[in-house]
Amino acid sequence: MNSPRIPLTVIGGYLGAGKTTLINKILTGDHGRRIAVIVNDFGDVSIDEALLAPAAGGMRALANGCVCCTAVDGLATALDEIAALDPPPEHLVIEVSGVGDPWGVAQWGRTPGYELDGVVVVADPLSIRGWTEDRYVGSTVQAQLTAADVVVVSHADDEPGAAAEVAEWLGEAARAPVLVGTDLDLDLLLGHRDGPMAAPQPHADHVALTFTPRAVDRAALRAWLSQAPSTVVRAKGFADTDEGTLAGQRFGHRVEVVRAAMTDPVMTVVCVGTEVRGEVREWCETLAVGLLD
Amino acid sequence: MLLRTAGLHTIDPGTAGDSVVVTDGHIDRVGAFDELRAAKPDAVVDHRYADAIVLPGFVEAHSHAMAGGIWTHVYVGYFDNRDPDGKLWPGCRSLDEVLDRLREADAALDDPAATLWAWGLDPIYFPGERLVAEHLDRVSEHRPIFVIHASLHLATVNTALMEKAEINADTLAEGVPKDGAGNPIGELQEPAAMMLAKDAAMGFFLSLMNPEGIEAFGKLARNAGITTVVDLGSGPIASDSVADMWQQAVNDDAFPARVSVFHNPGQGGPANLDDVAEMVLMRRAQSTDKLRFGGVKFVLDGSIQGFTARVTEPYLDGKDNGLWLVPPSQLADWIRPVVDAGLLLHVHCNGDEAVDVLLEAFVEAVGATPPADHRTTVQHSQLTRRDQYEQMAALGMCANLFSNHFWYWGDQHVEATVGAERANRMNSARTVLDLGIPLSIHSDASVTPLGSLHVAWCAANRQTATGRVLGADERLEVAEALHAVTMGAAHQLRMDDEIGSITAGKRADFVALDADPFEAGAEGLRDIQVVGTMVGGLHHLVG
Repeated sequence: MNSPRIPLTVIGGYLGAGKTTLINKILTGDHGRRIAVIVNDFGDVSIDEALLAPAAGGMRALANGCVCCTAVDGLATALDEIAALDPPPEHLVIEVSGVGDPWGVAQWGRTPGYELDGVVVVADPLSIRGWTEDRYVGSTVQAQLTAADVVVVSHADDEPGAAAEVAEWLGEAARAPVLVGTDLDLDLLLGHRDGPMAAPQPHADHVALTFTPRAVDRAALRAWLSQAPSTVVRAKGFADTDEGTLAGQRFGHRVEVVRAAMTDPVMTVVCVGTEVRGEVREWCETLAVGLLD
Repeated sequence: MLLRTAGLHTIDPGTAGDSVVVTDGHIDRVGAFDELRAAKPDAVVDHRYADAIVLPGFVEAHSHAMAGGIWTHVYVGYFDNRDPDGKLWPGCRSLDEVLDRLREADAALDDPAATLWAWGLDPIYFPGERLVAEHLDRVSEHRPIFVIHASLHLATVNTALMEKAEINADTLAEGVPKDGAGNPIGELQEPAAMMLAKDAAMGFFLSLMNPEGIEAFGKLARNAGITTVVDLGSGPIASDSVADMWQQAVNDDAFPARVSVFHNPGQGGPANLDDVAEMVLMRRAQSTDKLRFGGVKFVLDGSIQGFTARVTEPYLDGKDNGLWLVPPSQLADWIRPVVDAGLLLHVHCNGDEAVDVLLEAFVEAVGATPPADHRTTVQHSQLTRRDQYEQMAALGMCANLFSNHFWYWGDQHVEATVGAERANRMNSARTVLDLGIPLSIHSDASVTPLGSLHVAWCAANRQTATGRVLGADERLEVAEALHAVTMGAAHQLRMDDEIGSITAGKRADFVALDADPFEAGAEGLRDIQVVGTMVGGLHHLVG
């Protein structure tokens, strides 16, 4: 309970959505993070063979510190093996099969030693609307979108017009924040790597701010998280309450408040854009002690 | 050896008699006893089945080896069942009877800390009731109890187990339903939630595939008169240790059945279907007289009673359509390498929409003129429509129907899942035969017990547990039902040249019965007792 848990993100979406591109970026990117990725055995586009051919035991270490494996003996075993890595990875990403239910897979984030960070569903701008109306997989793809904490519109560089148009439609269909862009920063999707204490770094696509929350009760913390302005993609931190330290988290529209080991109160908020808007600042001020900077 | 019987049913229109000469594990000659005696004066006469009716050993083309290993645990299913040693376990007809069964098992365990596992609970028989931790706490407040439901997707556990596993009000997992006060009620839904009770869940699943479980699977087959049985994907045979386990177990003369072990790519092994085909070809070359590799199984959808089969018309309660286990648009790419390699492909399609997807993908993969004699088989095929069977006939596909459903879930299909109209045309064996589609019928053990005579009874009577007859016009004649559980299944396993009928040259695989199925008639099929089997000329007594 007190040892740090590995945050877990699932990446879902139908065939051709762009999951593999995103995962390739994680596996090969120069992001300095040790991320473990469990890829779907039967992904539609195979990731670079040299990277993916599973070694004995199904696990392969990559040059950038990441680890890639397939769940040969089931997710439970893969999660065990990943948790046993020394040092443990900073984050675990699980690719969901094209017809998989991302929220169902996300429940593995409740496994001891892990904590669910979020559900990212990837959508291809040219095909997503067609798939939601498909005779066979329409309801499956719609359910994937509904399960999303955030939706990422892929192939935005190739199809900027379509991406923007479909993003608006997705906002309704998924009822979750929609992020457009093939170069999204991992901090936005996976959270800040060093936890909420990390100093916010400048990014092209998002901005973060950190503050000390005042003492609240569980209901007030939940209410505050639930009222985030629409540009807020994630908020995560700890607050002192009458029942001890609580961890509060919001990703997309999903809010969770759970008991946590005692720690200093601190809250980090991440929103899209290049600067913190007034409405976000005002919202933060309702929880913050003292000034925000 | 000259095996003398009270009557032979050869399932071969060209062969008749009451006796068989067996040489080197094969059928040498079939005919009247006196004639064979004169022709083979040196053959030792075996009289043990002189009072029995002998048929070709039954062939089960859809079952799972875990049907053996699961008997490590306490049976709490609704229907009577027999364990591998032949002991009768009466069905638990109420939740109280489930608890009584668990109390007996609890008392029989010496170690007070040992986990008590039970299996077979199907809540569909207890509408409006729900087994929860509070019930199980009445069995034991100290011993962890893990009751896995028949679907294997759900378990009910007691408070002692939840405390040990730290499953409590703070547990966030979706599959852990809670009461009004926020405390978990004891249900763990789907694997991620079940694995919160990791020791108990792993203890259960790891018990299903091991040498003892395979031995138990063989006994269950033998007791049912089955001499060739399929494991339709249980353990990833890509693993040498799994393949070796099969070799060690089945090639032993004492093991009472041939086994055809299929590979299901969804359960591990290579991720690329070209690699799957290559691996299965490699295994196929390691086949022996008794152990066969070379089959590949895909699973497209879920189950009807679990509301997870993909159906074209909605379920009665308007619940969501079922789930896909393979992306439909990917299926053609899965099929092509398997069929191109000449491997046998069996595809699980419970719902008719799954069959639509399979037919489209099959044509996309292999073209409108498929390879000759490919024997691609639709497994379960429970809701397949006549128009789909027409296409299957045109494409040369086979159908293996889940006829046991009439008895085990027929009433639930009428009342709860798909309604009377579809229940009446479920598992439409007559339509299959009328269209000339090679037919078999199956148990899907451990989903229902291994038992070819019971499956045949179901296909011949289509009767539910409360006595309804569903779709009387689709009933099979006794001869057709017996053909389906012998030659029909052998054909779908591509073993009809060596098993499935009592024909000179084939393997000496027989089942001995205490009554003549043709005299017993359709109604009496399931009451016939299996006396023993012969596999490759070796006797196996029912335990």
